[in-house]
Order: sequence, then C-alpha cells, then structure tokens
Amino acid sequence: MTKIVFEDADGNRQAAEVDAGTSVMQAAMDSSVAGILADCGGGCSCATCHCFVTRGVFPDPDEIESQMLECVLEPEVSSRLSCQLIVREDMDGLVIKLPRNQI
Amino acid sequence: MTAKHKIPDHVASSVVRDVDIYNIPGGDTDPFLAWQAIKNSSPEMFYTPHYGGYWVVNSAELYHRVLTDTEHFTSRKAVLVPDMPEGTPDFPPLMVDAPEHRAFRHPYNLALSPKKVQVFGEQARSVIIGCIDAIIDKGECEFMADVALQVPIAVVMSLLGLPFEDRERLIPLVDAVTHGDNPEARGGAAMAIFAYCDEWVTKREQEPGDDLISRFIKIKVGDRPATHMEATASVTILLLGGLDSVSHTMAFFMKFLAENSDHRQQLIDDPALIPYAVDELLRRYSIVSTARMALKNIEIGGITMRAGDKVIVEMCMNSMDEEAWPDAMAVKFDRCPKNIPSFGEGPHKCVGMNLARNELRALLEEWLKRIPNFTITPGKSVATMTGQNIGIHELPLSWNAA
Repeated sequence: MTKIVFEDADGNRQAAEVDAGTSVMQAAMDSSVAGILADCGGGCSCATCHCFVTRGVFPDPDEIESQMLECVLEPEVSSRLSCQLIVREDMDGLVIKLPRNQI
Repeated sequence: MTAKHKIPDHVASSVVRDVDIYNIPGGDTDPFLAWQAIKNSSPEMFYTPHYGGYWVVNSAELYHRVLTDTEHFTSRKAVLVPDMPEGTPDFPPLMVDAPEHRAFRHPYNLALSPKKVQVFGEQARSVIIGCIDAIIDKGECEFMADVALQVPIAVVMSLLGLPFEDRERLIPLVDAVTHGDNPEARGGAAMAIFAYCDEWVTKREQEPGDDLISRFIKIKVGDRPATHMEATASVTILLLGGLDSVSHTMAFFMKFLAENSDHRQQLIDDPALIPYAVDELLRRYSIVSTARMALKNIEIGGITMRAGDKVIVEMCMNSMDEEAWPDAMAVKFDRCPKNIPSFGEGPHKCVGMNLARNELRALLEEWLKRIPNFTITPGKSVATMTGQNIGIHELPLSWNAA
C-alpha cells in the first residue's frame, strides 16, 4: 500500500492508503476526499477531478487530457486530471494538492 | 394501444408486467407515485412486452450495472424507446460505443467544461431574469411556456452558435420529440429537428468558423473524418439533450416549491442551501430514462438476458430505491445526495449535467428573490405525463403581484 496525501485549498491534509495501479482519482473517491468530484467516473471527460502535482512524477498528459486541462477552473502548470494518474509503489508520501472548486 | 409482442421463451411469466412507459396508470397526476406503484409490485428486473419488448431495471444496483457494463450493454440501436425506424443511422455520441464514442464526445466535453458552464449559467440567469420581469406584475403565469421552455433553448442556441430567432421554430418540435402523442408525431419531430441541424451543418461546411458546429464537422474518428450525417447527428443530440430535460425538471422543482411552503421558506431564509436543494430535487424528480441492448447473454437481477434483449433504465427507479435513498420520497435539503441518478452513469453520463445544475440554481435564486411566495393557481390542476422522459404539460402558478 502506498500513502497518498491529499491537501485541500486551505492546507488541510487527508492521507489515503492506496494499492499501486489505482488512479489518484479513485483513491480520492475511496477515501471520500471532498475536493474531487469525478463526475464522469474516470473517463477523462469532465475535468472535475482536477489536482495539482509536481511535473515529472507521473508520465506527461496525452492530447485528450491536455485539452481537457484547458477547461479546469483554476489551471496551473502543475494541473493534472487525477483520473489519469496511476499510483506506483515508489510514490509513498506523495502530496496531491486540490483546487478550491471543481465546478 | 401499441400491439404487444409475444413473450420470448426465456422470459418467465412471473417477471412480466404490462407497463407501457407512455401510459403508466396515474402518470397524468403524479408520475413518480405511478412508477413507484410499479416498483413496489415488480421484481428487481421485470419485462414489458410493449414496443417490441424491454426489460426494465428496478433498483439502484441494476441501474449502476447496466449503465457501466459496456462489455455487456451497447447504446447502438437501443437508447430510444421505441427505437427509431429500421434503417435510421445511430446518432453519435449518444448511440455510439467505444472506441468511436470518444471522438464525438470530446468536443462536447470541451464545450461544456467547468469553465464554460459558468458562462452559460450566467447567460441562463439573464434569460430567467427577463422571463420574471415579463410576468411578475401579472401575478400569475403558465410556467412552462413563460419560463421553462424559454431558458435552456437560449443557452443551447448560444452554445451551438445558432440564431436566437430560430428558437420559435424549434421549441414546439423539441417538445414533441419526447411528449408527442404517438410514435409518429415524436419521430416526425425528431426528423424535423435533424433537418434543421442538417441545414446548419451544410452552412458551416461551406463557411467554417470557430463555433461548435464547425468543430463537430472537423471531428476525426480514428483515421477518417466524421461524415456529414454524423456531424448533423451530433448537433441534433445536443439540441435534444439540453432542452426538454431541463425544462421539465424546472417545472417539477417549481411545482414542488409551490406545494411545499416549508421547503420554500428554508431556501428563502438561507439561499446558500440552494445548490444542495438543486441536487436533492434532482434526485427526487429524476425524469429521464434511457435504454441499452445486451451484446451477450447475461445473468442479472435474477433473470437471464439474451443477446439482443433491450433494457430500459428509468432513472426514477434508482431515485425511489429505499435501500439507496432511505425515505426516498421525502425531499430533504440536508440529504446532500452523492451520485444522484438524474444524469446517468458511465461513458454516456450527461455531458450537460453541470450546465443543467447552473440553470436550475439560477432559476431558484432569481425566482425566490423576487417571488418568494407562490402557489399552484387556485382552481387549476397540473397535468403530468410519462414517456421516455417524465413531464409536465402546463404549470399554472399564482402569487400576489406587488
């Protein structure tokens, strides 16, 4: 199990124990993390699983995700759609920051 | 009365129910109670012989399974009840499966993204304010014609880059597609809308812009471009998806608030509750249905479905499921429902869900600010209907004009 730490816009943290191979979005859903909506259930269709994570930790976004990232409310360079981020064992302690609003 | 078909051999008589979704007993006064009566007297998956024969999902659990199991269930030749005439092509993205589905769905996703729906939501708010301005001094209105049918179409025309004046032509057609008196009327209206969209796709092919229709025309499906028909169908689906459902949902919200002054007062006292009220009212008044076709045999809900069998997913059969929603028929603004069933689930989950929520929120915010106390017009009753979507014919409302 890998520990992923979700940090909301106010700095509050919530840890989740995650099996490698799970998406960050699914980890958030499983731990009832409030700041991720995931309307489309992980299909890279809704841009409501938006998160911030340092570039380079995960493989770069593909074309579809890149276009969807232009649609989020508070885009940053570190923006990603968490449904596209697959947790690996070597990510223990990784911090995922969340936007204030998804919609 | 539609001719029924004989019951297939693999369907046990114990699971058969004579349910015509366009004529549910009691559906003309309270469609949800009408469907609840069927829910409570039917197994978890039952079969109706109408319209060629359909299974019908009767629980939240089966709703989830059918809508997310794309290995077993297809949207091709399946979504509308009854199906479109033989030979009608499948309309993307609604009636298309993976892998092509993504190509058609993606432009919609971008057009209705969180960023964009904020803008359209504010546009809806302006239209709502205009509608209220026009009626407030009269002390009464017919809510469907005066408000509900005016708002979503303004947004969708704007979204598609279509001329606002064309809505006069489209409003009655859109209403007829889901609420026309018979399959011929409904089919005819759908084809008329398709013809309208076809004109505009042709115009945009000749003079492309950066509008949404031009973007549909440029879709690449794998290695090939989308066809003219596919682009036209994509526009048609957006027109159909974003209108009727929102209008009738608005009407059910207003009917509820007209008849429930306590709930109305909660929102007047604390408008910050409105987004939560919107979700709970959506949960309680889920008016949409869809359908799928089984691609292979499957054991589900205590029955065997054969490849080729069709199944109706009536959203209200989830929203009235007591296991999923304790005291399901009660509207509780502090329920804060998660995974509301109104918008479906899976790859075809409603692309306009957040736009719809913004429109509904704007309606309650603007209306309650200016007309906080209102009732169904004394002496008038409200006729409702069942069908592919549950609906309200007319909603006469009255209040004390200042």
